[in-house]
Amino acid sequence: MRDTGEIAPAALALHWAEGALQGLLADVALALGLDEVQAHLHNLLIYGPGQFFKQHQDTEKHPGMVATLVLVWPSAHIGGALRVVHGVDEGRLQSQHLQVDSLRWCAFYADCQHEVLPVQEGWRVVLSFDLVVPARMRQGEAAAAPALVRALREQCFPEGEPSTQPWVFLLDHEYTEHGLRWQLLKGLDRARVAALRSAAQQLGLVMHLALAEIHESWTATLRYRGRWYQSEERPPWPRQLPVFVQACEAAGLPAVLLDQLLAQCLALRIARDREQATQTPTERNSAWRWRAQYTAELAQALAHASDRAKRWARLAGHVHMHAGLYPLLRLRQLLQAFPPQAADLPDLQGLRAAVLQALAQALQTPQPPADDHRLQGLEWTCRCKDCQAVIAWAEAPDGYSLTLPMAEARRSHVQEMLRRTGTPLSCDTVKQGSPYKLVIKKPAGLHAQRSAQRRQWQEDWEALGGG
Amino acid sequence: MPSPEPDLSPILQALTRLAADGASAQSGQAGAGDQARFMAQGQLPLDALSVQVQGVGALSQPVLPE
Repeated sequence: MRDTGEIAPAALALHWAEGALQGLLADVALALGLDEVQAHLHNLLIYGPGQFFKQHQDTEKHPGMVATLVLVWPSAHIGGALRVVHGVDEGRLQSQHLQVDSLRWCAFYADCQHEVLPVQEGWRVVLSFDLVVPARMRQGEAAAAPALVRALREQCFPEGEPSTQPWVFLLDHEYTEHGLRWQLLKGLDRARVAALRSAAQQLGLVMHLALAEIHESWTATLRYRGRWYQSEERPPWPRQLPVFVQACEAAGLPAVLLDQLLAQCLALRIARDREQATQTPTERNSAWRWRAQYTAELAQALAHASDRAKRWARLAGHVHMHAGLYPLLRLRQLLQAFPPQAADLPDLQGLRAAVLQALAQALQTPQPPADDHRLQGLEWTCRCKDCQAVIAWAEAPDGYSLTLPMAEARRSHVQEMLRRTGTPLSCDTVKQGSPYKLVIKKPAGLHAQRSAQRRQWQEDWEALGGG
Repeated sequence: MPSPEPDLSPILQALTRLAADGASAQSGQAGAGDQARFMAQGQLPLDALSVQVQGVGALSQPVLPE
């Protein structure tokens, strides 16, 4: 989870300049939308070169804890950025740009996922505090906003009669059972709920806070091919998402719930891609078909989100940033899945331009002759001496097979590397002599495959308006 | 001032307007939360804090150029 040095608070003595702590906490409370916070020193963490803290969520260590404050000591270091994620939003504290004439601080709500990226050089020293809303604090009474009272009345008293349907408002932040209290609500939730509560009271309605647990389930029949799983076999949301969303809308599902659903879908897509980005090329490629299909469905479904332009931009930017998962030469169908009203978005235009440029470059590169058997564009996963010999042969134009006399452990390693890389090479072990020999062959029909690929690139380039 | 999305329910439109107007939805608080973020960052002067580590001494600070 983490690789850091740690000093417990009992071994630390902090001496604040007069008014400094109070000023800092006032700034933090204001920025986070809270009335007041108190800070409890948690520890001092020291990150040396290569050290990190993997993505995690802080636990609530004190009653009333809502957030975490980190204070970065001005020690010289490179790397070690703090990345904070809330839903589909993300923020960073780039402490390597530290100004030596100041201490940098960053506060974030405790439900945010966050990580510290590896320090490359120097020492990153951080004081960490738990931020607590004082027990005496209570949400103040607000004057009910007339427009909100009217809207709530329309919802809960349609045609003057009380509705038998409860109305549910989903909060932005996550809460634990202990943390779900009116006075401990976070960020935007805090003010929105206060406004709703005042309006509800005026109408004689009762509002409750409740934990909603969302259970996602799908069949766990993973397809077994060789030794790896096809992790994208099931979509991370209901099948045929655009149809499902359309049906929800037709059934009168409130727009706010639809927005929440689509925001979750986008977050799930991004989260699953982050997982896949760490996989081997073979695993990533095996999931390509589903990844492309489900991402295209998501692009279509986002047309039903009220903040669709923002969501489309996020999705297009995400795809553009992850070329390992979304190869530019294969994005025609995904680009065409974005509805026409998304076409003018700069992020989508940027992605389209990059795809067209990649296709144009690929088409301008002369096709190798039929007797050229070199394999190109592979993402080799090992470059040890044995693997390097195989790579040099694979990238050479010759068509002959490669014979490697090797002991079993080395043969297995080379075969595993080829499997992880996802090469089209075939391997046989010739059990003669000592050691046995590993014989690797290049695929037949490579020239025909290249020709077919170029025809596809040409079609895609024209279909996307190239030239 | 951003106007609420027309697709939002009337309740959300009202909440969005409250945030945009900065109308006080909580006594003594700013608006309906348009300033509230999930994270915030800032700076403090170097002399705002000194730290003593038991058995080690004071955490050193960089020497500022003249």
